[in-house]
Amino acid sequence: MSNSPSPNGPTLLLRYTDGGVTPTQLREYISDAGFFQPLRQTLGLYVHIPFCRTRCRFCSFYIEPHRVQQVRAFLQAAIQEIEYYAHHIGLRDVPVETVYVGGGTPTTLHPQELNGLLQAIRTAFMVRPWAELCVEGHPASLTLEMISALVKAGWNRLSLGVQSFDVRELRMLGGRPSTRVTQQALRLAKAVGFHNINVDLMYGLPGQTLETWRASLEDLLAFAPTHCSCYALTVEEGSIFFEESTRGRMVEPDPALQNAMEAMASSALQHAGYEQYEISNFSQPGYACRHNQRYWRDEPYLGLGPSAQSCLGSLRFGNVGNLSAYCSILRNERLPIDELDFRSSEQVARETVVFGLRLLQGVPDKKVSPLLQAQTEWKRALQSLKDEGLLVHERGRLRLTALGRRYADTVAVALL
Amino acid sequence: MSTLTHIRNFSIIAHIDHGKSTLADRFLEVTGAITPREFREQILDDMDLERERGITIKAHAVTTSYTARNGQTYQLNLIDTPGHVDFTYEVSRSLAACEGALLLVDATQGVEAQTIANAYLAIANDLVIIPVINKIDLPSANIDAVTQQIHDVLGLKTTPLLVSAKQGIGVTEVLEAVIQIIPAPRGGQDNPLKALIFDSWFDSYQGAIMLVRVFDGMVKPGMTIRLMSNDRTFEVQEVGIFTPKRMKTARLAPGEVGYVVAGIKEVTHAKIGDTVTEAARPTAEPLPGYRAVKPMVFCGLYPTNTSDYETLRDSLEKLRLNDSSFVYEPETSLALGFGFRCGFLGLLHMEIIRERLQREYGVDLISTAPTVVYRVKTTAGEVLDIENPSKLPDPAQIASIEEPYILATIIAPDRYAGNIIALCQERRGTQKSLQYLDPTRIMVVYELPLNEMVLDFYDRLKSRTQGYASLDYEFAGYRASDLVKLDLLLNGETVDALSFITHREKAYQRGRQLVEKMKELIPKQMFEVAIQAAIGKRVIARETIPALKKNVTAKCYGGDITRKRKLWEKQKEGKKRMKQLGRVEVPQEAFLALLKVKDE
Repeated sequence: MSNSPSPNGPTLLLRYTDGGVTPTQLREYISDAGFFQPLRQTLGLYVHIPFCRTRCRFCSFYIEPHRVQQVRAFLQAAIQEIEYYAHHIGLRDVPVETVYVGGGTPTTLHPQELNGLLQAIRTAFMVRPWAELCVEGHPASLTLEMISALVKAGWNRLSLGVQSFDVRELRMLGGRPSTRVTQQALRLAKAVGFHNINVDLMYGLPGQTLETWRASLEDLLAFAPTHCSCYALTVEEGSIFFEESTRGRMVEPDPALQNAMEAMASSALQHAGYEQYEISNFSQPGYACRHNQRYWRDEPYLGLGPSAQSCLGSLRFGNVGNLSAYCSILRNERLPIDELDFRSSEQVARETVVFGLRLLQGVPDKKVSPLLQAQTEWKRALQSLKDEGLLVHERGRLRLTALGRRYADTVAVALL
Repeated sequence: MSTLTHIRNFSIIAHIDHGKSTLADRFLEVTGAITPREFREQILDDMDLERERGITIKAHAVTTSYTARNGQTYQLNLIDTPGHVDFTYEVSRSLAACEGALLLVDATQGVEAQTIANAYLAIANDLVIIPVINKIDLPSANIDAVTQQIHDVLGLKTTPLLVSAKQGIGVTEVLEAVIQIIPAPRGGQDNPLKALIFDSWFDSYQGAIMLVRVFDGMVKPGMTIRLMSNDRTFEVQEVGIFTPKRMKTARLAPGEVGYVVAGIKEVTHAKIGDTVTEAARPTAEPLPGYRAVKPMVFCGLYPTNTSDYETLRDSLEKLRLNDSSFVYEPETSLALGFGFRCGFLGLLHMEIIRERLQREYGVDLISTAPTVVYRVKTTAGEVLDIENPSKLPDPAQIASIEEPYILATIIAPDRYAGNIIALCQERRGTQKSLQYLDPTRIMVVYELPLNEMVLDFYDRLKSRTQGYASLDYEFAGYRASDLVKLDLLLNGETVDALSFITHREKAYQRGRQLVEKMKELIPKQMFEVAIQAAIGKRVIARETIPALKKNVTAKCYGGDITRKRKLWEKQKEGKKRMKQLGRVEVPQEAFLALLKVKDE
């Protein structure tokens, strides 16, 4: 790498084709990004578990089929990575508010392996006693032993990729469909001691109707989890759906129907006492996901594992999305980062607004006003979005209107 | 300095890719003008763009010295000619500077339309023509057939010389033929100066530099010269030759070819085809053939970003310094704001200028579809030249409209005859002749309206003949025509930059094609967009772009954020390059939609 990035200059996009970054170098970057200065800094930790038993057809994440050998290599590398960040980079004294283990399917691992990871994190970092400790899982891989071991180790939030309570829809998504298993896993989790549970549902699926969607929502409400994420199906590049749709073998979701389903979910959930706090997220009062809110509030997060992304102050970086490269770079005593860039203070301010608008409460004035003062073009863009009824600025906050939530990406492009 | 008998001035006439530049390079190598170390391929084409497109835009001249087999040393002046139909006049002036020309034909391709056109130009200029067949080393070379074509089509009786410029075969024989067959120039050293400007360009230190061929008298530093077309006088500062390196000389004598620097501030003053004479002792008659070149094709050029207007103006000014055949003047469009109406010799010329503006000067442009100059007689008896369709007067005020026609010569294998004729008929053409060049190739001559030609005729011709057709055209005059103006409306508002003039019978079809294409090119907006084509107040075609129902990322966490911010930044860049027409955002390409409509 030839030039050293400066936090004040324009964005530098550094690409590491292989080899990663030395811990010393990354420490300098993080320090340049001004991350160590404010003492009251906190951290959210994300760990990406890149294994699944099968690939769901909507999924575009980086995953590998589950193999014992590779799981072992991954865990060893992940623990190495944890220690680099804690000790060499010097993040051990930054209080960790949230730990989120996602994937992939974390529950393809043994509970001892997941607990081992949590233990390593607790040993290496200053994890708050009240931290949110969340693990994602697939209903089919949740056994009684698994659930009780996780509860015992201190995990306090469980996020389940249910997607649908309709067996035909499940089959179409390509997981291991069984509504009975789903129902049982949910009951077990609750009974054994997970109080805070999220259920993921999807709408706009091929073949899904307003009736089947209503039935799924009713099943969900019967179970009454503390949290629910409702995602409109999008055909993402890299997913099986994407391939099928480019070959013309899949009917793309109908946006008008998705809008109707979204409205149905929103009213059913709100009627049942949930509040919508983000475009796709609903919770009972007090149960909004603390970890995910960090992404939208531009609060620091550190991503561990292949393809995981981090944002510390003005610095953003991401790990290589390949398990064997991830392991071998760490074996060479380097961090497996393959992309890193500094954001200018203006970019930080814009991104804070853009991602903050995902939250229904919107963005406080103090984050908007610096842009309004300095950026006449931005101000003009903002005004025209307001004129079009996509944004409102009231009671000290800027937020998307109901219409704006349907065009959040249009707003994002205009304000970025 | 050589005596007249030991000078030869000649050009190479060839179709694109028939090997002109390679042969020229071989001449320079054989005569020692450049050492192999200096040897860059195709040394005569120096602009990047020329190299990329494999065509020569500006003419050049190289002077070399060649010792022939008879032991005598000759001065050879090789005058390079631009290789495209748009520059016919410049070609004719370059040829007028020569006594002879090599007619270079690819042994695998045969005679092409451009070769014929340029050969006729050479014949019209009384040049001695030496036919040369190139690429004889290729397995698909068909020397007999090509020889027959040269004989039958061009009426040249001499046996062609056979070369492979690439392999260096037969090159010396060509040089020997140049000396033996091409006549030496004539002229008197003591006569009043008479020199032909066949090229000129702008140098930021020395002003306009002229390439001239001296016919009579001498030109040397200190002399006051007069340019006969405009009667301006200048003092000569420097003369010299290109070897191909620029080299000062004491003077240019009769028969010689070289450059003249005379403190001419504007290249438009040193017009190609003009005659240079001595101010104090002028020649009685200028050289024949001079004419002011007029742009044939026009389009509007607008900066995408209105704040780039000044940059665009400065860039146009700089380009104009070097290219007097291109004209521009400010114009205003309701849709696009402030910009320029620019005139070009032809489509290629237009594309070159457009590309240079974007590439060399970094101006992001919106270009309107090319149009020709219509001649309108008003009911009040005025005659107007209309270069911008939106300026066409109200039909009630029009007594008649005339449009420019061209005579197009197309050569292709005969299996494409049907396709070519169909295309020309669709484009309102009238067949003038059809003849076989040999048992498999035909030459078709059509009279066509130029406005049909500027709408991607050449691309269509190429695609319908799988790239085999070659085309050349010349201006054939104005003809009265039943023309109407077609307007395009977005959500009820006329977009002036998209108006165009078309034949009444084609208006419906074109209107339909245009709205369909616009529907493809304009992205969905948050609201419905109606696209209409209209003649006056009468709507003849309509399409609707349905509203974008939603545009929102469902999952937006760590990894998604990384991906989305890159995607959105890219989209933002794309958005910056769109033009806001009312509430509708229109991409740059849409303004050229007329060129992109599907083949009928």
